[in-house]
Amino acid sequence: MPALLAADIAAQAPARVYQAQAPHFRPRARNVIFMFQIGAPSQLDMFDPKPELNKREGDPLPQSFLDRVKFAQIQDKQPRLMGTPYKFSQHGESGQWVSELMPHTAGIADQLSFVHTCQAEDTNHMFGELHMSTGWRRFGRPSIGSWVLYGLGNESENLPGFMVLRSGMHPRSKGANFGNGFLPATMQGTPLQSSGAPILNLETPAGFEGESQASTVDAIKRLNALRQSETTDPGIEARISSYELAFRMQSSAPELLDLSGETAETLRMYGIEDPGKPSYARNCLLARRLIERGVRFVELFHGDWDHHTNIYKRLPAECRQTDQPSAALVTDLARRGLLDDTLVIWGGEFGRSSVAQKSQAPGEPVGRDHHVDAFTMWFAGGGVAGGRSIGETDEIGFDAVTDHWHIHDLHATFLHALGLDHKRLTYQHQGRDYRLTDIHGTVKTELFA
Amino acid sequence: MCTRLRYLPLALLVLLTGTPLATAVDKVDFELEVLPLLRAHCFRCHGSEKQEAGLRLDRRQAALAGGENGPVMIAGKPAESLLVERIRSTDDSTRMPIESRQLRREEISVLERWIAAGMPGLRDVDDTGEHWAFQLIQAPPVPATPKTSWPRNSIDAFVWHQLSLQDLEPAPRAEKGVLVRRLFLDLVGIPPTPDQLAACLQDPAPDSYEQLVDRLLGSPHFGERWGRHWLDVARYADSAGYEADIPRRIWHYRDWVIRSFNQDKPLDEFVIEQLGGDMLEKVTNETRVATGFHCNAMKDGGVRHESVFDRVNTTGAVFMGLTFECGQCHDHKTDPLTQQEYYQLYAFFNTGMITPLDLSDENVKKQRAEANAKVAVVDARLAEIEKEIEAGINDLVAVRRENREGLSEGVLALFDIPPDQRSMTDLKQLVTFFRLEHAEHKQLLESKPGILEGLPEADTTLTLTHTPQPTHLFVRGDHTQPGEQVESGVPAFLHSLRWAKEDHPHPNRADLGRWIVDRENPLFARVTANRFWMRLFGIPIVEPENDFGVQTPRPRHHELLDELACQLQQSNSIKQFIRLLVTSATYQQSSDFKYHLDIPDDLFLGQQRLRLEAEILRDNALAVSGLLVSQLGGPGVFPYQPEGILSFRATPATWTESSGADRYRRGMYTHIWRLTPHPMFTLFDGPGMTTSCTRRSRSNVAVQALGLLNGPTFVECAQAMGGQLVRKAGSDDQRIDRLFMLCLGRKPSEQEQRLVSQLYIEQHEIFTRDKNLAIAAVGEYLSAGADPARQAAWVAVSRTIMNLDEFITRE
Repeated sequence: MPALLAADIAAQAPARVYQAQAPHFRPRARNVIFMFQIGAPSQLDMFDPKPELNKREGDPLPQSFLDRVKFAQIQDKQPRLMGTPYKFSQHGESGQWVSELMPHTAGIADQLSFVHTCQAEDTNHMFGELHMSTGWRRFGRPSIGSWVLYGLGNESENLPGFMVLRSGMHPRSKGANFGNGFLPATMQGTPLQSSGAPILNLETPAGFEGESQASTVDAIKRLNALRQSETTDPGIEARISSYELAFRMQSSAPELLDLSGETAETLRMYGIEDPGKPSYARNCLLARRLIERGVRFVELFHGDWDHHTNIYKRLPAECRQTDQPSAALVTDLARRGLLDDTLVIWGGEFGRSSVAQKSQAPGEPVGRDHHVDAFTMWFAGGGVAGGRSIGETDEIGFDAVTDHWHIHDLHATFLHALGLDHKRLTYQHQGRDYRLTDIHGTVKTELFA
Repeated sequence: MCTRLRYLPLALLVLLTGTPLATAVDKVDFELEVLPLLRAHCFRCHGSEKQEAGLRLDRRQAALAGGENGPVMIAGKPAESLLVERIRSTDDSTRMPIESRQLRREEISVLERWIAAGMPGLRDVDDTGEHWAFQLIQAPPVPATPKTSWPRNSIDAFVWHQLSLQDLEPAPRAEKGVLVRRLFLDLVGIPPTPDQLAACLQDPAPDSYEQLVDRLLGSPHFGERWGRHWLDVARYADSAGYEADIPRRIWHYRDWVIRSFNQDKPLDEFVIEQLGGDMLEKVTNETRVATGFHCNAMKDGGVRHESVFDRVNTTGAVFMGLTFECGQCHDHKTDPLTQQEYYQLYAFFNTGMITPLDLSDENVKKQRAEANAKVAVVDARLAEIEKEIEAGINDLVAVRRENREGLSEGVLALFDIPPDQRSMTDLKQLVTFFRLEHAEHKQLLESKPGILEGLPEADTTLTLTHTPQPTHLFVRGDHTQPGEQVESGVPAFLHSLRWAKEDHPHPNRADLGRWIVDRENPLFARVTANRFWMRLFGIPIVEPENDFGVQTPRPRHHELLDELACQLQQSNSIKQFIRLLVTSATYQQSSDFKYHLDIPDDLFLGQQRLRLEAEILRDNALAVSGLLVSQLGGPGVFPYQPEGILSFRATPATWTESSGADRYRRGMYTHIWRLTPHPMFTLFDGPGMTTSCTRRSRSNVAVQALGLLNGPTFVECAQAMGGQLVRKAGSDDQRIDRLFMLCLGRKPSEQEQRLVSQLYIEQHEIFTRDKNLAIAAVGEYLSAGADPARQAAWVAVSRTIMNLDEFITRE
């Protein structure tokens, strides 16, 4: 089959069957949880304190910045610096700076490495998301999770190896954030529904419970296999494995989704009031349960952090929803001995600017525009050094002064944590070897202990 | 979408096939073999943007001149060329390309032979002037018909020719039953009934196949099947998208599309009406409805320019196969489209405003007009009263402040402001205060809802109307930075646009439509033919099917594509074109995988097995179980969907489940909330509807299997099927035969027959043991007098067959 010429067919029928590959070298982590904060959180109000910015509140942005900055929305010819009203203090033995908006995250500061000098390119959310999720600013490339499955395979027999949980606003570039691109279809992320039941159609329909369902699934398999021998289409093999996995999910997934065995203390720690109600907090708890069940890559998407206006009301509200569960997940993984094997990532597609974005309607509260030149992400577990702060931004938090961590570097580093060399993890497609990092990417070993 | 490679260099392909290199590749093809290699491995550092070591390889003169280390290619002398030395080097620090794997032996050989041949093909100018897809479409000579009876039309001559170059023979014709099912699914999206199938199989006429094609092209369901393909590219939805995703009425456009396909509206009119149906000489409501095409862009109040961008980009992708969007911020990096030209295209759409068109019948219109007239009278009187109040405000205040009782402090403060110091807001607030105390005003205001009560809803649909306004280029694509003013126009590298200048100084949307369908347009017919082909063969001739720009090399089957484009231009008829495709021997080949040889020229060797699309999957299940209601058109319907799908929306949306027949309509009539589409749609790769979708993906994940196994709609179909089987007289073996005929269009093999009989016995035992299970399993479909255990077993068997890969696949 000309699989290389026909991505469409290749997706339907993964002619090439992949065995789980071995890592290229000793891995620090086996699993990943990426808490993708959609819409670009404001690092200057949470993680990157800039006293000088507060002092110069209201001063015009110096011309040297103005000349090269590309705002997404600000129209003002003379944008002015905007400090933060939130109080920063140092936390833990490491003395990491975190603002009062994130008290729970501050509480685990010694377990986190902050990188304040992450850099993106696109100020548009949709393309920014794609860049962060696939290393490419347009549609069509495999997502990080798919690359990881391609590199390491799935260890869970009863669940897909790449699971996606969403809360609040969905990512703007939708399924492309967890798509398989040109990699085989079995490597795509499987999203749980963000509303209603997390996995649709899990329950065996009334009347078919038990033996009937098992006998049906068995017959489907045997009849499909007959057809497969007739047509020799490897797509049917893929169909047979989907049905087998689906059948196993029927027994494994309800158990996964049933939170009744979680103690009240655990639910409280995550801030889950009603376990039946979808929320970011519930997703964080589900993420732990997925990791426990051997799922390789769990990605949480939560939005929306896009605070162009009314930031002082909307940002604290977003923090209240996410701070406690994010921190609880790290703590929970740690106390169950899972954190060492799990790389936890927190961050958005880019950050927010040091200048005020005035609303178009006069008198409306201000916000911050997009900012790609420096923003903060944090990391935990999976060999990550705790209590470390990497990268400095200038005195107004505009530019990265040291340690430039481009998205490609982030990707190279994630893969490195998993024992994968980003330059060797290649896939041939349309006549060329593709990588998550394209032709870029530097591994930043300073992240690791 | 800026740096891409589509094709394996020939040498690589040869390697993959295991065919010896030998004579096949003595000549080197720059476009097919060399350029992809240079693009993949060299141009990033030695191209237009970067010239590492002063070396640039994408222009002939620069490449010959070399870089800091002197010349790198010596024509005719690969062994003396530095480039060859570097790519052959075993030293990691000097070997090129520096950042990736060493070139393969075969790749190196391509470059060596190219240098040996004097580097043919590399030019000093942009090769866009010579780009294959920008050349006028000319009918290629049809290759000589071989001495076989295989070719049925000109398509086959081209395919045969390509195959014969590799000593390949086409795959055999598919079995007739498979062909009939393929045709039904491809042309109308519903499988044949056993009777239809039997009639076709028994038809002795030599042209029975062609007759079937004509019958299906004449079916009203043809418009549904092909209309849905078009709705993908038109990004059709019943709501506006973005966070608010407010509902919109535009289903008349959906029905216009179905009608147009059914009536075989000439292709040129089909395009012109959708782009400028409101600006034609003979404008009718029907042509206005067609402009719904571009009303389908997502819409959000604050970002109108985004909708206009989308209209430009969609026009590029759908009709021209070009990635116009690169021109938003800068000149196109690879195609010869300038940013200025992008905004000339923008100007066409910038003057199009979304306007609801009222299609209500005259009676409703009259009723509504009368009511609106009454409301207008009331409104006029209300305004008059407010004017009176404003005129006498000082007196009113003077009188009213005498009696301060019950007045709030705010009002009193307002009263205390001296008349000469009142702001406009103060005055407005005073007027509001007094009109609330005005008896007639109050009474009139309260009478308004009564006038509108019980009024029939207007039957509207969104259309575009022309509202002149200037267009400015956006500096760096930033709408807040308007640059110079531009007028509507088309890119200079394409054919010229002619329009009635004496009538309007600048071309309009209708003119743009005429320009697109102009015979001189090298792209439209090629792009359209390619996409129609893809719908029927699973893979397009040109990959990717939505970029015919300079980056996409000439396809192997270029002549076939041009032949198709010519045929499409000449007939100007979608139905005739589809007829041409499906009556070819190429289309009728077997899709068995064993005929695919995994070699470059087997692109059209054999057909493809294609998983059905989301809607067709469901239609198929409803049809075979006898539940499908085949009513055409009308407002969207709300079949079963699981709870909770609509929560978490910024604006509320409703899903009041339809009752009766509307639950069983074809999937394309299901109401589409763009932000939260029906989960079945999302599960099986329905388009995202945020932008034009020119091609759906076909994924295969476990949650899809769960949907087919356990989804209530599919279970209900199995229940209906079980009931149907039980009612039919005959033996159990005959029931199994019938089930196979209904679902798969064929009889079971002996082995299958045995396996399914065994399954039936197993299931029958299970349900005999537990009657309650049986009763639950048959659901509401228990046939009168039937044994529940027996019927439940047939439901279970039906469910099994309706989950087979073959059932959800068009073979």
